[in-house]
Amino acid sequence: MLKVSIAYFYGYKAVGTLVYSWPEAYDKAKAADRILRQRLKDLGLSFEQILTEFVGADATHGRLAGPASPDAPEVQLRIGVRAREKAPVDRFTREIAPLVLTGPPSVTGFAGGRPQVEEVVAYWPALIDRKEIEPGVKVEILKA
Amino acid sequence: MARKSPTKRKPGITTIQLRWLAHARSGDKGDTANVGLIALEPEYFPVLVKQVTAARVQRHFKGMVRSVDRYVLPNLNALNFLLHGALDGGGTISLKTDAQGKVYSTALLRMSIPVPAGVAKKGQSE
Repeated sequence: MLKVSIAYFYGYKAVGTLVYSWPEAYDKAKAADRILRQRLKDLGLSFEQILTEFVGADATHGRLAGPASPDAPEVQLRIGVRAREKAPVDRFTREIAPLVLTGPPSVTGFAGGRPQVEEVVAYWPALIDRKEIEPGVKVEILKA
Repeated sequence: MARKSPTKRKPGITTIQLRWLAHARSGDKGDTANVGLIALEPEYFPVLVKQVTAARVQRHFKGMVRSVDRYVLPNLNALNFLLHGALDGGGTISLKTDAQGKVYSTALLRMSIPVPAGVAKKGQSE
């Protein structure tokens, strides 16, 4: 067997973050997540995945971290979306800023502007039977 | 961080968090997180082998992983766990902060297991 590393196009993703401060930072971040998800739904956008994490509460250990403290100095709302099409991901990146104005107060961490839409290049590490491979080197010189 | 004392279960047995008995390191391969659990002392290893089973680890990570395989590495006083379906698709597809599963290690160290009181005492004194 030989190892083969295959990279392939797998759509688009973007991750938006906002930071909520004490008091009740976690509850504010949760409320913002609810509002944003409802907004995405109302816009009729379809995603393969929407993932919310609360950095400072559950981003690394999930539910194992236990309930978030109402006295946490800050919690970062981190919400990521992924879709095969670019349009819904691009629309998502425009929905973070409105949350600053219309969502829960004591929010910061948005000076970097709109999240970037990234192309997802997925990776598939796999094994292939040696017999399937014809070894060879091909050099191609391309003119600019 | 609060250091919780071992709580009594039955005479001679206490429960203790794995953090007092083992190191852990982890990483990714595709959508699988790979967690190595290494006994801090050779005498802790048999306790880990007995208590930290694949089934218990799967319960610990309920809702976070699909299935768990365990491999025993006695020459290293270590256990290796494969947590399948742990990384939201894994690699560049994953939207998780921990897309590479680097901190599933410390998440495993949160698990509590029953141990002989002597082991718990030694573990916590270190």
